[in-house]
Amino acid sequence: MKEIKRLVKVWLLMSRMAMQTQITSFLAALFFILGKVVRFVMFYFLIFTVLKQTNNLAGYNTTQVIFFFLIFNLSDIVAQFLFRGVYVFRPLVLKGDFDLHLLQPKPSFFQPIFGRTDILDFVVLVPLAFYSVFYAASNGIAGSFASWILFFALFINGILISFSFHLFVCSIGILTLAVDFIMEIYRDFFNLARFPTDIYSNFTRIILTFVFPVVLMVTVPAKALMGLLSWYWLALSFLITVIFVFGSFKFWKYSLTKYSSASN
Amino acid sequence: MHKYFLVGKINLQRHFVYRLNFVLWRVRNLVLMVSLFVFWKAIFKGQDELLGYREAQILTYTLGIALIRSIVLASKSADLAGNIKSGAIASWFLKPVGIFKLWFSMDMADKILNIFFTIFELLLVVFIFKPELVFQTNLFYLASFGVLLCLAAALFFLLSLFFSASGFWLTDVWAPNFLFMVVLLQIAGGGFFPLDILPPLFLKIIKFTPFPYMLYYPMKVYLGQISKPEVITSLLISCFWVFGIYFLVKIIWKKGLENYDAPGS
Repeated sequence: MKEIKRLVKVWLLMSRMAMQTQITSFLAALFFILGKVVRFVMFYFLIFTVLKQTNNLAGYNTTQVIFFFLIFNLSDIVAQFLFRGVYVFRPLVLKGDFDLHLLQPKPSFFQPIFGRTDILDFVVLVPLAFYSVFYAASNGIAGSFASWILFFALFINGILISFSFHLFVCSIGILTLAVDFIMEIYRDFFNLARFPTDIYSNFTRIILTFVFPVVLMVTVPAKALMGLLSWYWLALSFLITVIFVFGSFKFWKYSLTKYSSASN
Repeated sequence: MHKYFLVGKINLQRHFVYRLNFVLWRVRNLVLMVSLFVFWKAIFKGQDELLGYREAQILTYTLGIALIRSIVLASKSADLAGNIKSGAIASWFLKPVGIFKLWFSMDMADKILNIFFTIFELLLVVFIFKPELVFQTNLFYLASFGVLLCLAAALFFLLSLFFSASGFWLTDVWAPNFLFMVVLLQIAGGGFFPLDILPPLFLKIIKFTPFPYMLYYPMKVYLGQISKPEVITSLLISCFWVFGIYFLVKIIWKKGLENYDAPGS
């Protein structure tokens, strides 16, 4: 517990420094936030337009489909806010600077994953989180108090999967220097969860559950709040998370044994 | 001319330095193509026509956009802003080369590589999914499509130069690139979905920007979904944007170079 407290303190310190860097350029911050808002609004309208004609998607009505979309955005932005370090990990390995971080008294995965906190994502995240909760409460999405508890548990579960996936990518980064495109592939699959994943064919859903488990990150928590989740999916979610987290740490440890510190 | 050809050739070879990265780059392109394809296929499940499109039309739009991306958006010029910011561009000023021509030759190499592989990937998708597609046979539409593609490629190149110039003044060059060349181009440009499925007001507003002329209009022309006068109008507007942005680029680069102190070089 003491160790976790210390790491949180380190993370807060790093985040504060990242924030100071980011707010030096007001225009850049404005462009970034504007970009996120424009994308959100355009897809929001796309959902309305599609649902206006189809009335429902895979049995979900407009309110429910929008809620899936909100959870998709929440999950996406939380992951980007917390794990942005992955996007700048490759240069660390390429230049050999990762050695310096390995020498510091923190877990080896700390810098690759949490090395960069994107405070601009946080700026977008706060209103989105409030809006999502307000939307769920005011549209009668939430079944009961227990559904909220289950939703938060599964949402955090989804973030853990996301963490393990990012760690997995960092491990590949050490072994092969390929990070950016794997992240883009992951994001392309993740984007499929903008709409309820039940609309896709069985094969696609298997990929989205067991290979790029976006179903567990977006669809499952959203369904839990709607009271539509079966015990089977609940158990499967936690089981896959355990496998992913355990597997990613194992793979990370293996990749560290292959780290050659090439440029130093 | 020969030196630019060599620069293009070297740029082509650079793609193969990190081979796994190259393979993943292509896999990523394929995944993007397939994910959009799968998405629209799912939306159209059990429906013959939706949002003013038949399934064959929307799938042709999706796959066609993938090909247009490889022709129009494959580019190295997005790296230019970083080069300005880091001062790396200063070394090019000392060499007997034109900076725009240099970047254009690198862009062309990127496009050739991209088109080559995208065609293979498209054939693979068509082979696996066997979708019903729309093949345009009208010569007017085909010729207009070709001209619009050339204009779109020129427009994208010029816009890249325009936004790269932000490197002369801004410390964070990624932000304008993210807003204009990623979000607006992909979404307001019709990269993810055809713009005419949104409420008409959106298209009316977006029409006043250069973005839909790079992806959306070429594809609409290919599908033959706009009238001949509209095709001519879109060609004229594309020309207007190409020349307008060309002059803007000239002005903005001149201003930028006057103040440029090549930091870090």
